[in-house]
Amino acid sequence: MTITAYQQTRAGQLTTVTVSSDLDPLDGAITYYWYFDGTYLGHSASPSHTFCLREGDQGRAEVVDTQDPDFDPLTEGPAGWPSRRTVFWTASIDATVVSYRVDQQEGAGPWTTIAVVPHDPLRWSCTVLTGRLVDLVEYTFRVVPLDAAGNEGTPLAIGPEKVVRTPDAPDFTATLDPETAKVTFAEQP
Amino acid sequence: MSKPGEHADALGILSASIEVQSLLAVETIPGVVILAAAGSNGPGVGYLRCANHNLLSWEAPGDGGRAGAESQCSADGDYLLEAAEDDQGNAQPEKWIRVRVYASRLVQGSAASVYLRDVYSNAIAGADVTAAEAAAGVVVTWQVAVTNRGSGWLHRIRVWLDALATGLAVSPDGSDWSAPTTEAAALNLGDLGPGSQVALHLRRTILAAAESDPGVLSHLKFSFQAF
Repeated sequence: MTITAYQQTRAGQLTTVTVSSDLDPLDGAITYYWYFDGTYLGHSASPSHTFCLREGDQGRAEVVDTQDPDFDPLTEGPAGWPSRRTVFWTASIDATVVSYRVDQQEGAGPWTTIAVVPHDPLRWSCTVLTGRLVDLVEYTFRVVPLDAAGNEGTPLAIGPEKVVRTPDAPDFTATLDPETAKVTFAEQP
Repeated sequence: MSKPGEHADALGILSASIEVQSLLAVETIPGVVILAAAGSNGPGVGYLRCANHNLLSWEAPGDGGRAGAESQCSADGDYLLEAAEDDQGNAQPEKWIRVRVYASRLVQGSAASVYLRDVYSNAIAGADVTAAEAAAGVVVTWQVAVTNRGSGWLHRIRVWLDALATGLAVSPDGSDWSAPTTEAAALNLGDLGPGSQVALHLRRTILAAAESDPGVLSHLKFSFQAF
């Protein structure tokens, strides 16, 4: 299985990556497993995936194309420790909760808010993908439920976890072509 | 139906009085919060299902579509879900997840892929050390508490290392170190009554210039007998 070509298109904070596979669809359905900076994001039947990339941020997108129905995206995915974390929590059962604030602490530094997620009574699972984390730094996350007046409920603490990457984090440069709205990433040796 | 503390999860590993987590679970089904996943599940994708009559079941990663016995979870509370027998017909009680159920929120017929990933920097693996950090070599020691979380006695608690756990050693007192790699040669921690605990010391030696490998963690194995 080989990705034979890819292209990236950026619109605001959204970057869409589209790939071409050499797998023959007649041999079975092709599934694409997507990773962003080593963190598994999900799979699709479509060869395209859209990533959120904040201004000034950069990331490494990886995709595995396979026709193996038993493919395990965690144990058979790209090797290496991710530089992003998926913050996961289950919804509050308190009827007064209207949103969740996700905070991040770098080392013993101050807490910074990385996301505010509206509470959806029909959704039980919530996830937020962090920005790119600094190698060899310890991070702690917390999810704070908020009511309509902005009062904080009991926070859920996650971590601390030290980010260690092997090999060292890749060094990218990103170039935006304003004419085509395409971003070109180049990994430095 | 298994209750928490009555089966393989009766043996807990605590660090500073907090249960050590070996795996982090991402995703679940409505009405279910995954409190803990046994390290024996291994990283990978498992499946959590809720059939009719609030029957929950757990399929551990790599079990090839075989879900464990269904547990009826019609009341709010904590439950233990265990994996199915392996493809040789051997029971796998060590592959469990402990869940908290909010019964009124269960959706019958729901299912979810649960992503289990390794937890680094926990009290078992110790501090992460990169190749650069370990360039000069490093020896780290620390201790955890092996705890009986159940309501009955646990006998002949033994601990040994996976053959992949190079550089790791265990000790009951922090001075008499050994690195057994089979259950027969395991370190015997004795018996534990309900709620009691015993110290387990761990020592990790990283040779100078050793390269770190994200695929190899410190693999501790435990066994015990209970009635």
